Amino acid sequence: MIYVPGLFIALIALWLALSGHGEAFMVGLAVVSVILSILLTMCLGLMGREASPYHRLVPMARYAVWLMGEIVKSNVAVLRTIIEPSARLRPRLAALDADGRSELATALFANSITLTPGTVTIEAARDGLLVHSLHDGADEQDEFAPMAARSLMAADGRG
Amino acid sequence: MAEAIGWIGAVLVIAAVGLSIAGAVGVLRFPDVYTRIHAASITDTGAASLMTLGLLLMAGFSPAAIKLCIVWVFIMLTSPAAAHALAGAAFGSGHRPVLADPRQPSEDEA
Repeated sequence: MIYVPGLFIALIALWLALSGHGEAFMVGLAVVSVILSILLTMCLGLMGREASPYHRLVPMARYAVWLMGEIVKSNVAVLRTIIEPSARLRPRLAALDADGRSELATALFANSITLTPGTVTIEAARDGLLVHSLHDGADEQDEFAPMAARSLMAADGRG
Repeated sequence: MAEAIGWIGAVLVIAAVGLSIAGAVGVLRFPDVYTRIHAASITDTGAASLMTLGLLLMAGFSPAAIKLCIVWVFIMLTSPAAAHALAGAAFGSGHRPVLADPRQPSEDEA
């Protein structure tokens, strides 16, 4: 039950932001629809830390900012490969470790790799990821190590 | 001042169009499905972000701005899922990527 207020605040804020209406009648409708959504969430057994993840808000925001920087850098790199006539591709597959991570941390890591241009996760499993990249670096584990460590920190709160 | 910010927004939107075209060129130039996904991801991330940022500057402080932010968050959450599904489907149906080093083991690793 302690997760209900957090989810309630988030849903009401979303409703108000999307509708832009502040009249009493409309806000009343918002409250009714949000209560119905929360009841539905509870009936489906989805209520829990993941429905109201305030405890991860700050690390996730910090990670998102770092990831934006990485995305800008790799956008530039892939863009150069496309427009330079002499650029050569060196595609490579890499098998990465994902041992000891929670499902959330693995999903965050795999999605971050895919979101960054130039690398895409082909397969994601409990124990590892198969990653295709446009350019081969010196060492495959080292290349992804910063992202692995930071995504683990953001999702699981340890490094 | 507001007009100048609107013009900056317009320039960002045009830059986003340029990035989209570059992504399309990459899709045509690159050799196989996996490298083409990398080219398309420029459109997914760079062009989509610049486009949203430009529209944000053009919209100013309004309800539309909040919606644009939410749209951007959803693009960032869903586009890797789509790219991963595409790559996984290609790999699962037996397409093997063109690799720089052909001796590299290419399957049964993950």
